[in-house]
Amino acid sequence: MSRYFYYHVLYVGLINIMIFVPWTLFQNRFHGAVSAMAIAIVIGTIMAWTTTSLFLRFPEMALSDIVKAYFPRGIALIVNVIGAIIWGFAGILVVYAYSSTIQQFFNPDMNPYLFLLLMTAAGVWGATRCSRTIQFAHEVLMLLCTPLILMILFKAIFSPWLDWDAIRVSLGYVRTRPSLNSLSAALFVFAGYNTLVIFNRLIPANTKIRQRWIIPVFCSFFLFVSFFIPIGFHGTVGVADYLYVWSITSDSMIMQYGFVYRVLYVFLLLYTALSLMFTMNTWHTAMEFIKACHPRYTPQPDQYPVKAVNWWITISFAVLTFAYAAWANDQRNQLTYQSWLIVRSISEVVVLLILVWCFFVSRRKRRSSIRQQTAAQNS
Amino acid sequence: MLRRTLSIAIITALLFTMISGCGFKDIDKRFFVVSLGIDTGSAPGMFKVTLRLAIPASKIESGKALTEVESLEASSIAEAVRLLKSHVDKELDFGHCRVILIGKTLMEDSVDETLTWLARRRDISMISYVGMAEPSAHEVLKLRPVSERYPGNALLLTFGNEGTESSYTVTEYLFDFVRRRKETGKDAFLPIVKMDPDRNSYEVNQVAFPDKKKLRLSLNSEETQLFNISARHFHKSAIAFPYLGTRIVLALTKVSTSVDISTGDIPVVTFRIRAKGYLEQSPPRFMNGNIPKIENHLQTELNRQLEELLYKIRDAGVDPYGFGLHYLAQYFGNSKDFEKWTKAYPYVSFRIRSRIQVDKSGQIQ
Repeated sequence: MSRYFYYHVLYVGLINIMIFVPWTLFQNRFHGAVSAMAIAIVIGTIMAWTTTSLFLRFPEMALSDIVKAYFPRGIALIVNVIGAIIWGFAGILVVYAYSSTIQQFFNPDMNPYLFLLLMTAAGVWGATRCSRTIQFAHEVLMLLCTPLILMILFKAIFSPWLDWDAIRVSLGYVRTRPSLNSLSAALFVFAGYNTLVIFNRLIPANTKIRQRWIIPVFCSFFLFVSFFIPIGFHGTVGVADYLYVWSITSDSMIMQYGFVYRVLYVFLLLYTALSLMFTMNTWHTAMEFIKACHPRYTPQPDQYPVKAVNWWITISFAVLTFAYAAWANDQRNQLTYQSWLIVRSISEVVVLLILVWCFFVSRRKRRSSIRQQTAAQNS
Repeated sequence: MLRRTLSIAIITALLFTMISGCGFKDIDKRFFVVSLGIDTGSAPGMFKVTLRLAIPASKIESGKALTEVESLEASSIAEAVRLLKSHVDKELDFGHCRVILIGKTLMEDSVDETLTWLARRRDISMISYVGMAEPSAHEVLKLRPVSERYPGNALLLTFGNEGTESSYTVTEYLFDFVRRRKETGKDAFLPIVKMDPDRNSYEVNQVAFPDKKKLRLSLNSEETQLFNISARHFHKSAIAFPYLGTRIVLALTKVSTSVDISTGDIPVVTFRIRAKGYLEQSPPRFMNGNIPKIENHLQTELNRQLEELLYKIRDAGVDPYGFGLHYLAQYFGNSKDFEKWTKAYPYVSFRIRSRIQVDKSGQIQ
């Protein structure tokens, strides 16, 4: 079962391009991006390890169920609302970033809201499904994406035009002091395990998630790729000029005998799938958080057909996406992404603290109940 | 249930009608730009933009490919392209523009504005080939080579390794050119595209070196080949060495280089080149077939030629090999180290260590 967990780790690691993680790092490339990345690898691995282990102590319980069981109702409500905001926003940001990329590179004359409509419609439909369906959809989409991911990665890494000198020069800036912006950006790559806040419901008792070395190895690899490959293609100076830096990077590779010679289109195709996957997953998670606010809510991860409330909640996310698109411009957008990344990193720590607290409370409860039982037997 | 499905289907179909008629234009209502040329205009501050447009034909035959050349002057490239749109009947499409030529006079002036325009346009692909046209991009693009099977593909096949692979032709992509224009310690290079004297094909066998601002140096074809081998690792080439009145030609099969730069006030650049190849042309019983002796002779010759080239490039104040960037990479340097390097670069000395391996002496002894 643990493979379903790793799908989350992998695609969240890859989607960092759509959340402007590389862009944020490039702005700080001479002022602490590389050192922040090194620190993020350590922190991210430790956080992923402990949070995953703690979640496994609460089998078939989402974060909202755990909080409901161990905290007063008011606090549980606050946690649910904050969770819904952070997760819902993640989907909104990715859909917006992807639709503006597409508008830039496919057809700039197109009405920007039209593509947003298509993307949100697909995202809404995906997110309304039950958790189990979404988990299976992840597997299918991940398998479809893998060949494209491998192709682009290999083309990039083995390209003769990749300038290793530039990569080495930027690596030398590991001696600078890390900044909060770049640290939170780099930490995002490791955030895949966070999907357990809802998908832990699907993990039965006594499951072990093995081969956890996958998290540090793959996520560090994705982090290095998304930072160093564009530097290798655009130089240490030129890289900061591009807003959609990975689209331009994939445009710098050639498939000479391919059906289309621009790798850009393969890249955009790949990110259609990944963005939809991410949106589907985050909106579903946010929706589950909102549903958990209801006092008599019981989780049903296998429910079919789904309730109408699923539709209403996710459609409201879609409406919010349009509102965001109407409000955003490039500057506001960058600011939102960066603040979202920082807030998300903080929330990660808060979730970890909540889980540690619940873990100790549950252990004390269990011990006291065992003590009571033995006392009853002795008497 | 059926009624519900039907109504959803109708609504979806109605939604799709919104999509039509936005930006999509039929392929027969588009003009595909196959190459783009930018020159200085007749007045200062003016640009002359030349577009070579493909005219689709049903028959594919050599020499029958039709193209139309349109050119216009305006005070900016964007304006010139917009104005050109009013001179043609179909929508211009840059999606297939694979060759970009920059006129020599513009290179001597400044190409910053041109490059910003090219990088900003999302439909100009970053893997277009770039070249410097002599005497001007307009003159070169006006040429109609008889060997063209598809509109404008003669120039396209010249570069890269799709068509001819000449060791005298240096290939440069737009993304690399843009990168080198910005990069610290690495300067750009551009192939020079000329018209063949008989005016039916192109001649691309020279290279031009601009620094960050303008053109500094152009090499002759022999030096261009040496640059292509040593900097771009182009191995499908042959190097000729004079020997007692005749010439020995070594055809290369493999080239690899490494650069080592010492610290110190005036750095010493040690350039190591390893080449493998076979003798394509040599006097019979040359050096009694003593391979080590031949190799030794070739190595001293190559050392001399390369040293001459590197000093020539250094004296022009350009760095297309990227020694500066390599210096920074080797010592993980920062901007202060780069300042030191720029001061020291005019005085650096080069040490060439070549290692030539002659595989076989061709089919005969």
